[in-house]
Amino acid sequence: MTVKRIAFVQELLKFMGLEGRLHLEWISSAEAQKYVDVVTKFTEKIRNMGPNPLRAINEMKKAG
Amino acid sequence: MTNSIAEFEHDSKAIFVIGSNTTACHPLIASRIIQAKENGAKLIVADPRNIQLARLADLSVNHRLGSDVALLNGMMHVIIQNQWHHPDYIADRCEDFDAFKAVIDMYTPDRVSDITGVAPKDIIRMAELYSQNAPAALLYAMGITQHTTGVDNVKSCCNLAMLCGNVGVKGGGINPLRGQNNVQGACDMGGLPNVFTGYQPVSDPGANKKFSDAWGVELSSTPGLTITDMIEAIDQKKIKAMYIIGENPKLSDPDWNHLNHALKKLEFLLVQDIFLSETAQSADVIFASAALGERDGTFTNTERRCMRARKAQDPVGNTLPDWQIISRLSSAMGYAMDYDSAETIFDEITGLTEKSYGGMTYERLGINGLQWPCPNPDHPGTPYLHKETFARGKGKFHAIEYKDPAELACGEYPFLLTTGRMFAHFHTGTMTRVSRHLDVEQKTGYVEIHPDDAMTIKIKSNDPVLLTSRRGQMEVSARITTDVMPGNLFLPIHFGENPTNILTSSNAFDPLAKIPEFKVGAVRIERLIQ
Amino acid sequence: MDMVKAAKELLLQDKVDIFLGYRKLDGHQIPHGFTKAHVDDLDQLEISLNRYPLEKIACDLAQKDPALKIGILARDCSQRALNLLYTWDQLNPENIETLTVNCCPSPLSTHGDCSYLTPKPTGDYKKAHGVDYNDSPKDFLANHDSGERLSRWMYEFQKCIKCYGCRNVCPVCFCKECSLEHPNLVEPGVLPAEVPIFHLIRATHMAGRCIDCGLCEDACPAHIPLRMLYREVNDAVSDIFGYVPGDHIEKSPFSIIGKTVELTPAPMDV
Repeated sequence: MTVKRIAFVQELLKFMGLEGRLHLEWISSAEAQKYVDVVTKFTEKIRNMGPNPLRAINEMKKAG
Repeated sequence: MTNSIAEFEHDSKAIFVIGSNTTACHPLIASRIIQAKENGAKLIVADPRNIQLARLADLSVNHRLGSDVALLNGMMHVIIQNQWHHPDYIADRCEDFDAFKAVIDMYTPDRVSDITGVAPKDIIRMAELYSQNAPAALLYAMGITQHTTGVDNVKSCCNLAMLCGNVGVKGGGINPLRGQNNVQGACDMGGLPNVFTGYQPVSDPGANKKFSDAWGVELSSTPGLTITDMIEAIDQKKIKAMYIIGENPKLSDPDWNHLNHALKKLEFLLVQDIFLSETAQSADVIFASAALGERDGTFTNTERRCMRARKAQDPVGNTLPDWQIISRLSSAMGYAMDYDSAETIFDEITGLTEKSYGGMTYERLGINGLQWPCPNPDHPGTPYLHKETFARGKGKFHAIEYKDPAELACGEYPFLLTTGRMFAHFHTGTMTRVSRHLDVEQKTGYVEIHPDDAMTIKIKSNDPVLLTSRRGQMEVSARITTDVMPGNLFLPIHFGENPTNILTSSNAFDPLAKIPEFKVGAVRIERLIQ
Repeated sequence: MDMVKAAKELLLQDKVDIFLGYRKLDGHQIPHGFTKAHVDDLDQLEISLNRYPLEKIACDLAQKDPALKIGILARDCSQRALNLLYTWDQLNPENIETLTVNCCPSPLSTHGDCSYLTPKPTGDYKKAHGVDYNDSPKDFLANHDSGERLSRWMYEFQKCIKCYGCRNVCPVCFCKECSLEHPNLVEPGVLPAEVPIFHLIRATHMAGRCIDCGLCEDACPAHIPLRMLYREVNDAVSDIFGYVPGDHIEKSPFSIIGKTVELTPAPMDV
């Protein structure tokens, strides 16, 4: 079920221009190194993408 | 409203909204404004709070609480300076322009900016957007009227509209958005102390005779009291009994402590309502009335449209439609009222209110209703007023000087409090707080405070705070938001457990309209130690 | 009129206890439940462009009386809604009779009665800053970069006045408890409805559900192109799972017990 939902939400976020910010990875409790690698890689990726654009939009009180 | 709601969407080239949180309080009118904006109309929003509609505006400004006259005068100053006004319209249709212009000449953008806090360039841009996109509709609500200068504010709105030739024009007009679905209807029906239906003065001998003859009694030609005056009269024991229908003054009237003190002096209080409101709880006798959908009748909405409300099912329990309760009470008191239906009453109304309602019948109202004036059976109703000429003949310019609100921030009360509605509830909450879905949105009262101020008084979101005004004190939880300006607070009026009107003043009211200044009051806010 | 005769027969022969259709009141078409006791009212049965979620009324009736036999004047979208509601056990197909009207055009019938056959006009400002009602999701994705897609949808969402009209009119919204009202998911009591989570939650809940009737977009007072949004939802569900809600009675890929789907998580693209 999780993979189905994630696959769908990834598509939806892409449509909204928010792609790349959701990721799913299967990691067993025995795979400590994989956990470290994935979290590090994803953290790097998010950092490189810059701040959450929604924050700017929600703080924007006036247009035009 | 001089004009019609549908015109905002189809005809207006600019829409100027001042003192109305339209998406929260008049959502269906907001829907028209959004549609107009998306089709290319210009939108100007002026409000002391950052309202949702401001996000869509071509220009939005936050003027200081109570500085509306100055802001409007400033816009008109710019319009006249740039000759963006309509001299032909003014010469043909208006009067007293010169005296008015002499006052306006004094309101330079720099001076207005000092009073309102709005930048001079924004004042100029507002003036340009409003005057250069005709027809322009001006919309306002309680943010304009609930001030000691309420009448001045309204007159200034009228000045602006006339200056640009926007009255008597499709898509233009001066459009007060009424606070309830039937306020217009209640006023039309003579729900004011000085008039019969259709604003026929009780003191006018002709009107008085007409109604006296129709009802077979001699009617008083002396105007009655406004609500504001009634509370004083109770206090002075000049009024001993009160009959309140469908209103909850315990929450809606200013200065809660003073009002409660006065109400205790009543010898008899009779309340008629569909729910057991705060006011009904202190009544000696309660008449339970039937709700919408359980009775026939009409409403007249903000665009003067009289529409039928139809009965869908029998009233619950032993409740009765209001007209039946009033008829029975009257008959019991010795004046027989033997109407057989709401329609019979409507026919009596139209017969006595010839100029505005004369041409209406239940059959003609259908589903869409008719907009008054509708003086005869062939008249199609009137989508906008003052077409060829103003109702009084010439449109009168009023020279209006800015006046400060009754209370300003001071050392002891350093914050300015404004009150109003939020989207999930209506007025005193009698009808909306019983809805589970609306209760989910907002369960209790709160006060909005700017993040900078929250930091100064060291509070976090949802912390309890104590608000104190010259009238009283109340406890409420804080909501931290940039929707209010620094130095301002906002309290919604819907919640009986945090009655806003503990803080408001009953002495600050407009001298003419007697409307209380709910929109500005000085308060102190303190963190409550947990 | 054949439809009137057919509906009368359903009632008179006790095949249904109530027939849901439309009648005219002072020139306006409103939903109406016709009964055997007032069978002649069916002479005023109306078929035109207007649409209401009659299936939703049927669900309410069935909940009060599960044995009630209900007749419905059904469009193609109603048929899809009914299939969906049968799938989710909200209605029992044995208790439902439909009389179908001609609406969506097809190779067999080019004429249709539906308010959606005339495209909804999109204003210039909306075209420049928001989302065109008539854009196809695929074109929208192809023609706008990520930043522009975001700003256009956020423009649309920040107009939301939180009336819940999209949910309330939706024939396939039937949950007893609604996530949109959960204070931990959507901040209550503020306008606009929390951007964008309110609309993303609803879009997610439409996955495997939306039958593309477009009533939400009709109902929206803030003029948000919701049908276009949920068309993207349907495209995604169809692309990933090959599932079209309401096409026939088949469990959604998001049901706990359903067709097994072979999917592997997408790799992280850096």
